Formats: sequence, C-alpha cells, structure tokens
Amino acid sequence: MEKVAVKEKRNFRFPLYVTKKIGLPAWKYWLIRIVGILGAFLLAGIVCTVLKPGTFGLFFSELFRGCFDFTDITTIIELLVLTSLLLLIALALTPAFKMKFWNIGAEGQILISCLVSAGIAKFAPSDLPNIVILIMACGGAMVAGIVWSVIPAIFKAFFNTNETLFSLMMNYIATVLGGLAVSVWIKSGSQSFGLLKQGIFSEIMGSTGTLTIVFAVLVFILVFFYIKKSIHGYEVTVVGESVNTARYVGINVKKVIIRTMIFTGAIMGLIGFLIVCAINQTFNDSIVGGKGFTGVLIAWLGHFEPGEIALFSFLAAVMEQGTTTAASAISMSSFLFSSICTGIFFFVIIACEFFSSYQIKAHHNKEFMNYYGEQKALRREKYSVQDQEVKAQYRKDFAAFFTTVKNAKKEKIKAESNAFKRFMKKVGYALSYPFMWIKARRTFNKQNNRRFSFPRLMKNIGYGITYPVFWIASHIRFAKQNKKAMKGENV
Amino acid sequence: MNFFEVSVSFLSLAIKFSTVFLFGATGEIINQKSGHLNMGTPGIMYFGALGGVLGERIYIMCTPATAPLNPFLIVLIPVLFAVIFGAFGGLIFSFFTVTLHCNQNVTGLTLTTLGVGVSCLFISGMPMDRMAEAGLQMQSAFPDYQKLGWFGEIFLSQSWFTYLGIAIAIATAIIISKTKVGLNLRAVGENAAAADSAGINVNAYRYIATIIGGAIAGIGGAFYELDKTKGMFNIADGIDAFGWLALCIVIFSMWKPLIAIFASFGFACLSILPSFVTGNDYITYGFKMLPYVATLLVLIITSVINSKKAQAPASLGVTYFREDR
Repeated sequence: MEKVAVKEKRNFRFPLYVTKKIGLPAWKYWLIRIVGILGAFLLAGIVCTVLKPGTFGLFFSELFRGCFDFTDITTIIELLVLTSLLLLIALALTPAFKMKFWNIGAEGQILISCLVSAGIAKFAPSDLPNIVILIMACGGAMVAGIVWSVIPAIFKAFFNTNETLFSLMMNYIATVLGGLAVSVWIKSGSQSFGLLKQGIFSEIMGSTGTLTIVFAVLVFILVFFYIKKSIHGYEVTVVGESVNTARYVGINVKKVIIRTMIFTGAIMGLIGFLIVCAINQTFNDSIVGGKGFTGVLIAWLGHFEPGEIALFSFLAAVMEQGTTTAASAISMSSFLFSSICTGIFFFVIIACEFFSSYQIKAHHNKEFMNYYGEQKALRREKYSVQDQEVKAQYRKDFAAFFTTVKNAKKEKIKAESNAFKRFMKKVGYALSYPFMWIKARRTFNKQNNRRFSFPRLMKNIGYGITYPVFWIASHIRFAKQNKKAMKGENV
Repeated sequence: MNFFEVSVSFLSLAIKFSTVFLFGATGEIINQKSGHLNMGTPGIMYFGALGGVLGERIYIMCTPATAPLNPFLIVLIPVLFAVIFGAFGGLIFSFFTVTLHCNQNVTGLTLTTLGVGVSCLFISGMPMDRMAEAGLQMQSAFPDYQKLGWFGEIFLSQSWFTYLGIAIAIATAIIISKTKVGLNLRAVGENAAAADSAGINVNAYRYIATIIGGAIAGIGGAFYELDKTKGMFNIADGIDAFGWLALCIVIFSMWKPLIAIFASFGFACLSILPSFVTGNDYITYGFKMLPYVATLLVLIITSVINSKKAQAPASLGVTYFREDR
C-alpha cells in the first residue's frame, strides 16, 4: 500500500527541468555569446527609444561616433585607454578568482594606491627630476595596493575569515581615507584637489593616458604566462579546484593565498598609479568610479581566461563610452543612462552564460503527448471564430496571392543589371520579408473585403499568450486523470 | 539650545535614520539566511524608492487637483508599490542565481548598477507638484507626543514606519529561530544539499526568502525617499550608501535581527554624528570610518573565536545545483 501512496504523490511534476550541457562545440558557444552581445546592444537601443521616442537610429549612430570616430584620433585613444584600464583591473583579479578567493575589493585597492601616488606626486620636492617622482609614486602605490589586498588574504589564510565581506569593508575604509586626504590636502578656499604639477606623464597622441595601453599589453602577457605556464599558476588552479587536494600534494595553501594576493595588489597599485599620474592627473575620493566592480564582472564573465577578458573589457568600454556620448546627444544624464545600459549589458551576458552551460528539457511521455494532442485540437476549435473550411480556403487564397507578389519582386531584382546592386537588392528583399508579408496581407484583405474584426484579433492574441498556461494546465489535468485511474485500479 | 535639547533631537533623528538601515538589514538577513549573499540590496532599495515615488505620483494623478488627499491612502499606496518593486528586484536576483545558476556576486553587483541607473533616472524626471504630502503624513504616528517631554520626543515622535520596522525585525527573529519554516530556511542556508535530501524544496525557499527580503528592503528605500526633506527629492546623496551599510549591519549583528535593531541604531548615530559635532576633518572622517572598522572587527573576532553561533551561513554565496552534488 505504501508504495502506491508514494507513486500518487509523484504524479505531477513540473514539466521542465534544467540539466548540464556537455560537449558544446566552440562555434556554438561563441554563437550564443555573439547573439547575446548583439541582443544587449539592441536592448539598450530599445530602452533608449522607450525613454525618448524616436531615437533608435540616433542612439546607434552616436554610440558608433563616440567610440570609433576615425576623423578624431582622441576618441579611439580614449576608448583604448578605458579598455586597457578595465582589462588591467580584471587581469589583476584573475589569479585570485581562479583560486576561488572572491576579492571584490578592487575599488578600495585601487583607490588607496591612487591616494598614495597622488600624495607622493604632490609633495615630492620639486627639484627632483620627473622620472624619479614617477618611480617613487609607482613604488608607493604598489606598496599601498599590496597592503590593502594582503590584509584580507592573511585573515582568510589563518582564520578563514569571509574574504568577500572583508574586502568589501576595506573598500569603504579606503573611500573614507580618500575623502579625508582630499579635505586635509586642499588649501582653504579652493574646493578641489587641482591638477598635479609634477610627477605626470606628458601628452601622447592627444591623451595623457596613452601609456596605459602599453602597460596593459605588458601585464596581459605577464598574467597570461603566470596563469598558464608558471608553477605558481598551476598551484593557484589546484587550490581553486580543491583545497584538500592541494594540501595532500603538499602545496602550502596559506602561502599560495598570500602570494597570489601580493601579485594582485602589485597590479592594483600600478593601476592606481596610472589613473592618478597618467589619465586623470588629479585625485578625489570617487576617482575609480565603480570600475573596480565592473572589473569583477568582466573577470567572471571572461571565465578567467586572459583572451576572453580582453574581449569583454573592450565591449564594456564601448558600452560605457558610447552610451555616454549617446546620452549627451539625446539630452539625458550620461552617468545614469550609461549605468542602465551597462547593467542591461551584463545581465544579458549573464543570461547567455546559462544557455551555454545548461539546457532546458521537457519531460516527454508518449501517453501525455496523445492526451495533449486531443486537448490542443479541442482548444483550437474553441478559439476559432470562423468555420474551419472558410479559414483553410482563405489561407490557400492568400498563399497564392503572396506568391504573385513575391514573384513580381523577384523579377524586378533579376532585371537589375549591376551585379553589386542586384546583391544589395537581394539582401534588402530578405530583410524586408516580414514587412512584405504584412503589407500583402493588408492589401489582400482590402481586396477581398475581409473586415477587421476585434474579437478575432483578441482571440488570436489570447490563444498565443495563454499557450504556456494551457500547457502546464494540461500537464496538471493529465496527472489528475492518471491519479484517478490509478485509484480505480487499486480499489 | 542647551546640551539636553541637542541630545534629545540627536537621538530622535538617529532613531529615524536607523529605520532605513533596519529595513535594509532585516531584508538582507532573510536573504543571507537562505544562502544568498545579495549584493544587489542597494539596487533593490533604489527600486523600492522608485516604487514609493511612483505610487505617490499615481495616487496624486488619480485624484482631482482640488480634492484633498486621503492621509491614509497616500502613505499606503507608495508602500504597496515599494513592496512590489522591491520584491521584483528580489525576483530578478533569485531568477538569475537560482534558475540560471549565476554567480551571486556578479548578479548582485549588476543589479545594483541597474537599480541606481533606472531609479535615479525616473525619480529625477518625476513632476514635483503636491509630492510633499506623503512625507508630511508620515512624520509621526502618535499625536500630542510633546506632552510626554523627552520620552515622547525620542520614542513617540517617530513615523509608524519605525515601529513597523522593529515589528518586522522581531517577527523575523521569531520566525527564523522558533518556527519550522525558519529551521528549514536555516538548513537551506547552511547546507543546501543536505536540506534537499531531507525533502525541503531548496529553490522555493531561496526564491521566497529573496523576494520577501527584497520587499522589506524596498520599504526602507521608499521611506528614505519620501521622508527625505519631506518629499522633495534630490538624488545627490544616494540610497546605495544606506544599502552598503545595511550589508555591514548584517555582518555586525552576526545574522541576528534582534541585534540588528540596536546595530542599526548605532550605525545611524555614527552617520549623523558628523553634522552635530564641530571638529576638524580627522574627527569627522574618523566617525565616518567607525562603522566599517567596527564591522571588520566583528568579522575578524567571530572568525578567530570560530564560534558556531556567530558565523555566516555555511553555504553563503554558493549557488546550488542538484547535479553538482
């Protein structure tokens, strides 16, 4: 008896389930990602249109102009500088993330290095040569970055303190220290820190930050070899896979954690130094501006692979800079609009992650499919306003009419003598196919005096929208029916 | 003003501020108890604020321009909207982490970015006429509190949101520690695989906990946005600061809602202290830094002592997928 009870309880289950995708070919994986990236840009355009009607085209042209304006080299340099900044942050985080050390304190680690290098550059004796000040600032920033990132690592290694929360707190402490430094350093009367006069890079190709690109390339090569080819990188991967395995093969886990965070901190210091001395040449407590958090997102979405990280930093930079330009063109707050677009971008790509590593499957059952077929037929009857025969005839007539329309267009394309123009017309034909269909449908209805019917439209829409509900409902009904049948058998 | 009056007004203001922290912290505790490290709380509080402002705007648009506004509805409708918007934020988070198995840190940070952008953009574009009404209506829950002297000024002058927040925190504490539902929730947060094999629906618990937590955090955001300068919004100082501090309070109070009530009061004191104390920059910024340092100390001490009662839920931040076991 008990067995039956269990069976009855299990009768209905949710018809969909998620399972892992195994052996996804690389081209499919990249296809999903490319579709996702294009979808994210499209969605950003749609949001733009919703906020300010009629700006869909303007959004994309401004997005493009803000990033790839080939008449003005500075926009491209700026884009590359932003890309390399995000790339540097994500690369700095990568070894720690590979170790499953969730360091989200990039913001604070960079800010504290910014603070130290700004202090050194401001207060260094002015008779020193510029290059000495730069080296001092860089060294100081690196030390600060290492200190700020090694503190959570020490506590993680010795006391197993939660590193995510710890590094988050370190961010705020750095922000407060930054605010304090600005208010102490500025002279009474002036409101801001002002531009640095010494210890700065000079302008190359219209931007002071051009050298960041060089540093990014160097660090890219360094991190690539550190992770892929060095013993350290191998140890990091083992610790990330399983701490117990690492201990068993004789890796000193505490040492690995602290060493990796020193590596991270040194790169963070370099980033802080570059932000202050090269890109901005000034300092305030919001100078990092959330790039640390964006770096975390990029590193995770790039699967901790340097190549993918580079791609995503480029895309994120395009999104940020392009939407900033677009926002000013359609007179909206550029910070808010670009943060909305960045949010959408990351959400869409996160969703793509799901489709590349998992798949949704439905529980298929022959008996259910038979039952479902019957139900579907019944439902179709219920929703059809017209007589089925009339409907079939209408479909047939329309198909004939549409073929003539299509043929006329095709003839026109064939008549074109220029090969390139013919090709372009073919592309246009393919793109405008849905519109052509709608137009043909309308002309056909007009010709045949088939009037617009609101009930018919509502029923058609209702049929489509309520389809998933119907699907689940029929699952439940089927389960109930089974239950009844089973009870009958038992009695 | 003498010292006594100043301290009375200081404590009264601190309790008012602590309400925002308390809502955020209670919501986040419920989230974290289910194993969701929801870093989207600042974004969710922003969503709640947007809901509150939108609800009030809709109510004002639906009443004729000359008719008086119902003092009860003008508070209730924004709160309902805030609950719906906050719950929606929680739903987004749990959809991504539970159904799509995404990393919680990544989802949370993205949600915060999106929430700040969306809410600020819409709030700054909202028309302002008659919007101060809700802020005025929710000033104090009890009439004639001045008759009771300093006691009334501190404890009875508050908006009913404050009492609601404390009630929710106490109810949460009781539900988490005393009921079967709370036990199941803790089991899900500690060891999702074990909870699953014991027949607890892990996904449902995580969904519902995150949605309820989001709704509570949303009320906090709406309270701040509607009360701030009595309804005349400006977005210069953001709610996200409150959201991040609410995350600190959760750690500081060691995942216990009852301690969170006092912790949020303490944090509120520290965050309004700089405007009451005149001193040099070191003192002002020292006060600003204190909450974070205190949180860090609690985090370190609990992990050094390694006491089981004061630890984060064991599977905090870990997404659960049955096939991974």
